[in-house]
Amino acid sequence: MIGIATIAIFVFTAVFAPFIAPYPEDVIAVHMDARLLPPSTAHLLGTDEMGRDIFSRAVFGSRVSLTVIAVVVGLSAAVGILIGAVAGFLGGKIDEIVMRITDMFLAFPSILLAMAIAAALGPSLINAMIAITTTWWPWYARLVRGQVLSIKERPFVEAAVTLGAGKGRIIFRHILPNSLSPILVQMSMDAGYVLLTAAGLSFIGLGAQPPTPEWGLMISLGRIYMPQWWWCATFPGLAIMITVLGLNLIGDTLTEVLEPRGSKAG
Amino acid sequence: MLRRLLGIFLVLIGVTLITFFTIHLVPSDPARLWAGSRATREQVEQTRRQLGLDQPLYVRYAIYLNNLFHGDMGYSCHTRRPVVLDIRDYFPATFELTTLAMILAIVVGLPLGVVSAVKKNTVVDHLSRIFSLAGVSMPSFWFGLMMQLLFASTLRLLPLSGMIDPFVQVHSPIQKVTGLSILDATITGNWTALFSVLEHMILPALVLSYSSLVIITRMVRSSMIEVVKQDYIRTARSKGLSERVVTYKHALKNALLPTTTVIGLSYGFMLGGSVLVESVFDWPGIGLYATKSALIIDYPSILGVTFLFAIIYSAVNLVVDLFYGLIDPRIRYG
Repeated sequence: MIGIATIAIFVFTAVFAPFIAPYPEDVIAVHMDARLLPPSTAHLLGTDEMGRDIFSRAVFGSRVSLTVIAVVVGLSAAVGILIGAVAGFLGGKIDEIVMRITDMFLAFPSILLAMAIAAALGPSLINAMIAITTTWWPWYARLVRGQVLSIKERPFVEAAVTLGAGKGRIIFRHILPNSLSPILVQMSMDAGYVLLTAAGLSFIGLGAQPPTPEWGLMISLGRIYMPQWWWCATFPGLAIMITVLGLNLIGDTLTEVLEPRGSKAG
Repeated sequence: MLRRLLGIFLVLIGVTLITFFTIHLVPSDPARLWAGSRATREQVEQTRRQLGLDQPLYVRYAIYLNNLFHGDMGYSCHTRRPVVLDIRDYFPATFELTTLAMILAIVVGLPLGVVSAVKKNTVVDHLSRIFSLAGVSMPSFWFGLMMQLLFASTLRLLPLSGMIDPFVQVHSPIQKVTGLSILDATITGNWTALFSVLEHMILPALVLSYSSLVIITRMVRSSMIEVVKQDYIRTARSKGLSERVVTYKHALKNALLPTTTVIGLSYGFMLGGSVLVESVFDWPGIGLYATKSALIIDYPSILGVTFLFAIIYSAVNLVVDLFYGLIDPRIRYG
């Protein structure tokens, strides 16, 4: 319940950001006369080094975060599912090659490859999303391949083959719909990690760039003003933590509902 | 075993392939980077020819691979030194940090997991769950900043950043024997420097250990809960053994099997975590080196570090699998 409520608030905030933020213009506006003000009734979470209301920017930051999660998880899943499904169904040399490629991607910390790609493409939020997607799809490919391998031997798939159904139809109409549970669980568990990775890339300068109100970037810029003006880096971090907590709680719940203990897919 | 090693070798080659071609996909100019921003066009072209950057990409990759087999990872653009030497100098600091972090994660995580399992669904268990959820939800770099704010800036108990006190570094420098600061300070009896390094290491190690600690706690808890349902535990209890013996001698021993795998894999994940934590604490390790290299697109350094990490990851996975096979006689390797 806490997870659902948290994420509901997160999505609601992202969608209605312009109406919730008390100073919507502070996404890009600068007020040098109001720099580094502490939290008060006028500015709930204080102001940053450019005099911008941190609460308003954090609210708009939820929009950025929701976009990152939706794009990266959606794209990674789409690419991974397609590759994994084809590899698992066709088997043989194609399956071997795809699995070796996923082995290579999974052979080292994904943030390092994401950093290299983001750096090569140039620091920006879009490039960071591309970079993270590039390192994330192998997990889905492996998951779906495993699912396909176990499902394709089932009688209803044999029946479809016997009736003359094409490979594409069998994969997309018969096998994948029966593999949905573990994919949904993986996507829900990944949402939080994607947000943390994107924030991490922005923190080190390879993700979102100023003046984008991205939470990781806000922490990076606010870091310089610690400890005296501690609110600049503290509140965006709390926003990340609460959001990821909500996503993890939903992920745990989905795991229990869709994959009760003893029937976990390999 | 031979097949396994061959597989690892192929994966490592694949890692260099993926990284090499990915970072060369985009139109940035390493020759310009090497020659410097004030270099003339002729100087940049000369640098390009000297570095072999005028060759086709597949030729450059073949040359890189050949050099790699001879221990040459190229030259770093930002340190102007061989990447191999940079790795030699920077990696020990990360190794020390991740090792201490791993020890902390095990020393705290194991007992916490046991207590959570034994006192399941009590206040202790719920608090442990909150502690775990917080650990996996917090960005490590933000957690590091908050720890600095609390322990360094507010309470002034620990240093803010760096590896050693600058005063100690000047007046009592660590004599290099192995490259590992703690070991070298101990071997040479430099207790001042040893204390300073340990003092500087506490906060980054704590931050780095948190997520692994959480994973270990959860794994021990769930493994213990599964193990105590087994028949041999019921047998042990009906034999009249004390709960302490049942828990620690029978249940925990068997719960440690899957936990060992997680501990091994966590060590690999910590390397990824070191990138952000070292940036926060200015810890002079390979993570900080990787960040600086990525920011200026220093190709040889990026390739060198990814290759190193891939080797360590693969080695850790192999050791974990072999260890698992050793301690669980039911596992056999072809």
